[in-house]
Amino acid sequence: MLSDVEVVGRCRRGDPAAWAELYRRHAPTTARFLYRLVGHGGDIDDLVQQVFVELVASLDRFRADARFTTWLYGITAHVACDRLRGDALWHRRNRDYGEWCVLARDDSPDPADGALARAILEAASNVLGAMDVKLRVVWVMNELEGLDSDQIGKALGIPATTVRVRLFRARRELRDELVAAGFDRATLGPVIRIGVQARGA
Amino acid sequence: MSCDRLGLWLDSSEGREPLPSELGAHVDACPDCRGLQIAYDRSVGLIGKASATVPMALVPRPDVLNGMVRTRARRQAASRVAKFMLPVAALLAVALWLATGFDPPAEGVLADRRDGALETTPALQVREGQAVESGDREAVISDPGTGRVNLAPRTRVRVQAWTASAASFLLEDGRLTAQVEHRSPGQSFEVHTEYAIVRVTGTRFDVVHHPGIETVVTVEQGEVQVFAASGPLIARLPAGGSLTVTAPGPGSSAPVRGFPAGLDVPPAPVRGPDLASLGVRPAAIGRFPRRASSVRGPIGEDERVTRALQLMEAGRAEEAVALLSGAAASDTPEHGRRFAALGDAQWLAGRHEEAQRAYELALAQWQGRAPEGLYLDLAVLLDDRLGRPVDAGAVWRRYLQTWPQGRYVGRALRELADLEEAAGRPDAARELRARLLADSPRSPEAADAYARLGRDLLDLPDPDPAARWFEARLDDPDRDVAEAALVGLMRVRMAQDRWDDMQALGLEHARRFDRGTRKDEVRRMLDTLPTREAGR
Repeated sequence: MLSDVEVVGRCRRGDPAAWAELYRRHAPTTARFLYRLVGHGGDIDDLVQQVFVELVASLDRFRADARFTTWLYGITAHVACDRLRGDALWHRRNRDYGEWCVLARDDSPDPADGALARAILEAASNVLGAMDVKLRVVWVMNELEGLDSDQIGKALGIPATTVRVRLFRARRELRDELVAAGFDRATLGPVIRIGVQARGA
Repeated sequence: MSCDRLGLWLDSSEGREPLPSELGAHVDACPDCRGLQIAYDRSVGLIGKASATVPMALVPRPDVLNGMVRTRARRQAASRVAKFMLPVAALLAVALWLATGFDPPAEGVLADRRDGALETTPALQVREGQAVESGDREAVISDPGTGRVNLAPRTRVRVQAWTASAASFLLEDGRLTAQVEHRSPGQSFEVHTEYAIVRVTGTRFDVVHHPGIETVVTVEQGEVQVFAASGPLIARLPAGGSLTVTAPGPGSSAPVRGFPAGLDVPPAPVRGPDLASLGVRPAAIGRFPRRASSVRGPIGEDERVTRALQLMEAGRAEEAVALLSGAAASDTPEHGRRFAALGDAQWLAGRHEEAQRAYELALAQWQGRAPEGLYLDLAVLLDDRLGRPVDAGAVWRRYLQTWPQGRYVGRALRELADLEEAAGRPDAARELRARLLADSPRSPEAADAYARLGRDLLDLPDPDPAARWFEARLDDPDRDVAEAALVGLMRVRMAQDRWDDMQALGLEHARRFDRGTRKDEVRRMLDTLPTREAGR
């Protein structure tokens, strides 16, 4: 199978099949990342198309010594940020973030635990929805997409130290909300019970 | 919650790293940290799981992609052939993709809205008398014998006729772009707005209507006739021509000319009725030469800019661009505001290079003392979006010349210092940071500049100058500077192997700067203590 760099090389030479291959490989990841950045109300399919059009226009700037996926993450983040900043429906979209909680599968055998999971997801979604978009982008790239700060820095064109500062601020917002809502205590129930049983035994 | 050890680690780690063994043992025993770890990991896991699958098919939509690629191709028409070939290749790829097993998007799907209008999906089927409103995406009305009508997002039209012999739309708000098949005698294609009627015989054209303000007609191919809403012919516009029809008002008293493309001399006045009384004025759009500066419509600059800002807030950046594009350079602050707003709209529309030119024009219009924020926007645009930090630096230098006491002086000096450092000129960077401290001691950037200068002193063989540097500001009224001084002094003590002093300063930091921004740095230094002491 051709590597991404080889496929990109073929795209540069105008090979239509290479474009299709590039889309097939990366559209799902791009869509998922966009979904995580803009939530439900974000016209994900439109945005995916836009990302690939941006990619068309800026392919000359891609250097083979960089990872294609990192570069694509950068384009995707910029497209999402532009959309979010210019969007009058920003507040509504923030609210849409909370809709993730209805998608959360209750796969816990304990109904109380399933309810707790939904409550945690709702609270966390609200924090992310209200979060500054710069912080949210970095948090999603790190915690959900698994990129480290150097990769994020390269993708966004910012220093890795800036990435870390944003990441820490994002985490602190989420952590503070979880603590304020009492989830640090609520999640402890089963753990404490197990501890008591163990000590009793 | 009383224990914050895990929280501190979360604040200072990359994530995805395993907990250090000592911290892991602590978390197992500490209910506070254990609860936080479970809640945090669970929230990340739940969001990751809930967002792992995008609830939609990912089929490249040719209408959207084609529209975007075409727009980009128009904007980059002067660029190299290779740049043109890439969008073409992308379109071919989409065609190939669709030909190998993907269905085109569904056609003719309409959804009722409570106001009686209809929200559209691509490839819309309409009937006469229907009100059509595009949603967040472009809608298309097409008929092989008549042509293709694209409605930009959030455009409202009413279908007055849609038959083989007549097609007519009332454009109430937004942008309509039409590509019309050649019309035989007896066949018509018309777009009506509040102020104008556009009639064609086979062409490609674009109409933008801003309710209460104006209608802008631009012709790409063929010819259109533009009539006043009251009936008289205003102009025959050839390919490349553009005309703005405004709301009738007292300001439209200047002679009116059409703007056919490609003319080197001012064109003859358009024959017809008293155009001024019809509220007609030309627009200088895109490549058209500057001719409209003496012609004032009834809309003032302020109103135009205000309306454009409303459009931007409504997510209609392209329309804001169209509304503002008619500005002609005239070295006045009014036009400066307009170009600045145009830059904003182009930025929002993703036209970063055009936005840069608009901002540059805005700066030129103000002749010397443009608003501070304009320099900031231009510099950020160049640095963040266009990847031209050196040019951004040049903007910051202009800013410093214009606004030596401005509110972004600290930021400008910091950016310039970082640039010098990146270019391998540490002395110049130090000089700029020293200037930052002297000129802008209360700026948000001051504490960082102070800490960086102190660290430079720490590189000297003798730590005393660094110690003196940091000791001098331990009680600075600026808390950030005082914290930077205390943490810097900790580093000095560490370099001097004065571990007890360093630990004491760490305790002082915890007492004085409980929520300080350098808490993680302090924690990392204190974490080295057991290792150091074991080695002693």
